[in-house]
Amino acid sequence: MGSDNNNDKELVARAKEGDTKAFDVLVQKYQYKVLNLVSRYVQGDEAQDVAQEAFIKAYRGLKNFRGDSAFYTWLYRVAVNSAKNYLMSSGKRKAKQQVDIDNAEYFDEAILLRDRHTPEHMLQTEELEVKVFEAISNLPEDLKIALTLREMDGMSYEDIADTVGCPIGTVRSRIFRAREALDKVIKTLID
Amino acid sequence: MSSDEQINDNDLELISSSLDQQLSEFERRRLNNNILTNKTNNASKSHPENDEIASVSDEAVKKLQRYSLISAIMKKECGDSIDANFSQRVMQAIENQSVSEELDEADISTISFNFYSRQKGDNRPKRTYGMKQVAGLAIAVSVATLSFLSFQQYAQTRPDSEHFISSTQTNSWESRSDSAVERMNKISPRVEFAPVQLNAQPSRNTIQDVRSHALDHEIEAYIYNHSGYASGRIVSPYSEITKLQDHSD
Repeated sequence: MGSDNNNDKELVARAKEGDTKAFDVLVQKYQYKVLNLVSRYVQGDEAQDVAQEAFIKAYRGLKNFRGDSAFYTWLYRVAVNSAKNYLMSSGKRKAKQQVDIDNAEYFDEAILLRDRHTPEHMLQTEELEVKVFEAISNLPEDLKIALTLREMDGMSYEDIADTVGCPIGTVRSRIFRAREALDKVIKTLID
Repeated sequence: MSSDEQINDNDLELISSSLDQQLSEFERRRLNNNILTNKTNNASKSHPENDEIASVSDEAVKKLQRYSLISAIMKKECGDSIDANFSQRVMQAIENQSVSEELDEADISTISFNFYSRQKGDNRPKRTYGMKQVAGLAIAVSVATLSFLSFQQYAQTRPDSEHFISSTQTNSWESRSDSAVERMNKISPRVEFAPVQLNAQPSRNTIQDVRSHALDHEIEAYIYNHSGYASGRIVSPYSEITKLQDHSD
């Protein structure tokens, strides 16, 4: 268990060999985290462009990634540099404060410097959040507890199993079924 | 049958667990090699069975994306906007860049021979690429052959070459001089060179004569050695034109 780093390494190794599908999986996995990170520096639709550029840079620079650090740590560094380069080139020096790479994910100072509440973005984000949390509240109690302990509290399957008093396999199954229920909700919104 | 129904629950549970880093080594390999990025996708997409496998793989990746989105929403990690086609745009951009880089490399290799520029919208295949490579190779071979033949001819006619020395060592001075003159006149048929002493070893009988006329011989040898570089139309100022020879016979 806990083989996410190994999982990424394998995907990175395959992407280095030209398997774009493997890199696609990495994009799917980290796109929201990278977008969230970039959004702290760049506002609006430009954040999408910078995040996209970050992924493209990462793909092109994969040959230089030696695997000393975790893939997502390296990817975050690429994303932060892309955002900073964008700000430098566009003259939008909004992020005055230097951000340490380890804390970049949690850095929220730049939120004050940008206008993120464009109507369409608020509507989109709010609509998704409302639908998802409404669906969570409608879940059976055992599924709701398992999913919230995992996602909100960050507990491992083993800890959840100890807390709830059931086997790990049951926890795993409950979390999967909870996600499936939520997936049916957001799939209609996305598609 | 919908695409969702093509993936069984066990595979979906693996995708869910992979987000939580809760996979065993066996499950991780199964997920990567058989579910998310089936290796048969690259082998033969034209086969109907592989098309079906590819669609299952695509749906599995989409499922991973939606599970990630659920996680991001619950953790309040969503950015300014949520673009469902973000990964598609990224992969499309990567593919476009790869194609343009390949085309750029091809253009660089043919740029010196590209005498016409392709107009925008000209979809004709680049057929000149192979022909230009062949033409370049032919030119290189021609130059190399010419250089080789020139060197060979020069080596045979050069007075201080081994071939010339070995031939002069076995003959008398007169015959040696005659053959040298004949060779030089083949190079420059309009000029007949006077016989001179070269750097071949003279016999004991001629050593005294050579020493007494050392300066003259040095000058003549210099003229002899350097007159070979001239073309047939150039007459060395140190050589004496005595007669023209006819080589037609």
